[in-house]
Amino acid sequence: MVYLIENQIVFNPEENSLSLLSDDESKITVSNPARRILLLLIEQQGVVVQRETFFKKVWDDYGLNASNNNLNHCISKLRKVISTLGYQNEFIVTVPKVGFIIRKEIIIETCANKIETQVLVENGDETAKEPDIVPGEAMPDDEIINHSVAPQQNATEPEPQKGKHHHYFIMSILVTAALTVWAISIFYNDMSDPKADLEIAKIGSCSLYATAPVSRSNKSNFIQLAEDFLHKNNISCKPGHILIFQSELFSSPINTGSVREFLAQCSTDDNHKASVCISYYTNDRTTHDQ
Amino acid sequence: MISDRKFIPPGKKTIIYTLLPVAALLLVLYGMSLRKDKHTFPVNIPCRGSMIVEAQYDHQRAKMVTSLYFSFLDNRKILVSLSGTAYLYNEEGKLVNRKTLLRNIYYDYVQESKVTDTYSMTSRQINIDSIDNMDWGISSLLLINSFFLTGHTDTMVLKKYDDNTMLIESNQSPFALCVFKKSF
Repeated sequence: MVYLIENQIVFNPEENSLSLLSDDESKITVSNPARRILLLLIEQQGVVVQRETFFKKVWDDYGLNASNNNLNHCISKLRKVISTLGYQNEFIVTVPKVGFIIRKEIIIETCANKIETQVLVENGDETAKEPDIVPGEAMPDDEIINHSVAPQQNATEPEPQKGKHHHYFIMSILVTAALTVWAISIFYNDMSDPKADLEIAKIGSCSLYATAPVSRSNKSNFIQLAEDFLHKNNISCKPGHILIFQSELFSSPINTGSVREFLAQCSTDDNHKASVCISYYTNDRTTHDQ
Repeated sequence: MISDRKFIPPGKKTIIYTLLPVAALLLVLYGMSLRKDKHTFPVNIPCRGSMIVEAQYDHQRAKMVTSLYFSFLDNRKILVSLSGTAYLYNEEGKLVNRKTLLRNIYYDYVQESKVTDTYSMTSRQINIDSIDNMDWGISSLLLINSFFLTGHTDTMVLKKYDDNTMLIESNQSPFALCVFKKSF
């Protein structure tokens, strides 16, 4: 289980590490006893953990020699690490002659869906209930702990890292959004009917298409030529069919001695795609003296 | 205070920030590959159609009703197969001749311009069925030269008109539209 302290510091007991949420590279490793101490304090947040409990759960149970010096050293180390990671408030509070506590007000989240609310340390009678906390009170000699904060440089270092991470996030979102819009436009164009721009008009129930773009001003002339061709060749429009037409009369205004005209009549399927097509091609080479 | 709120570990965040644009880029590339397909012929499927060709002259009229099979083959070759009937009418409109058409024409082709879809197609081999009795006179009225003259080169414009159709044009006019279909 990984803990997030004050939405800023990640404590990963499995890796014996503490790091900034915004910067994985800020990871600082702590010793096994220090990790067990922090875990105990987090699990019993808001409750003073007695020194004897630490001795038992951190050292004795692991066949190690417990001492006040060892405990103080580990607490000091943890405070330094927390301070180095930029947390300036008092995190682990000393309760003189009793033990240590992490105050209830400090927000600690876990990444697990379900938190084991059961206190792992079963010696409930060992824990004092909400004693008075006097953080400023002088510590006994054997509890003198190096509580010095890290240098200012270390304390402020994570901020640019956090900003850098934020920039990375914004860049990622912007690039993703731009690419997604591009992809959508491609798919939209791909899904649209490729001949939609060539649709000229409806003749009966059939859509009439050209083989090349026709300007708005020439559409009526184009439609007239298509209707004449249909009439001349006795082609009738059938429901669901499309017509594709082109005439040399439309593209060439002079008499070349040959008038080529083309019309395809296609049945379409459910997707409006041509299914079966009949092409009519005429070449009129009769003399048209002017 | 310990809360249940989920948070994403920093390492995972970096991976997610990287994967998002990569996924979007893959989507774009997929779309572009589809767009490329949209402009290329489905060469593994033959293109089929029916043609009614009519040539009108002052003293005669010729008409041909035929099926068209068009297929891109390996090694830049094209096969065109024609099967149908040609009719010749005199100036009074009376049928004076009737011919059968059944032949396969193998082309070597070169795509001369991708922009204008222009191809030069040279008929390398014309396999004429025994039932095919088209003579030179009626062929010259109704067929393009490479349909009946081996070694002749015709310039064609082969356009993908719709997703599954191809327009076959000379430089003057379209003359056939076929549909890419495995079978009817």
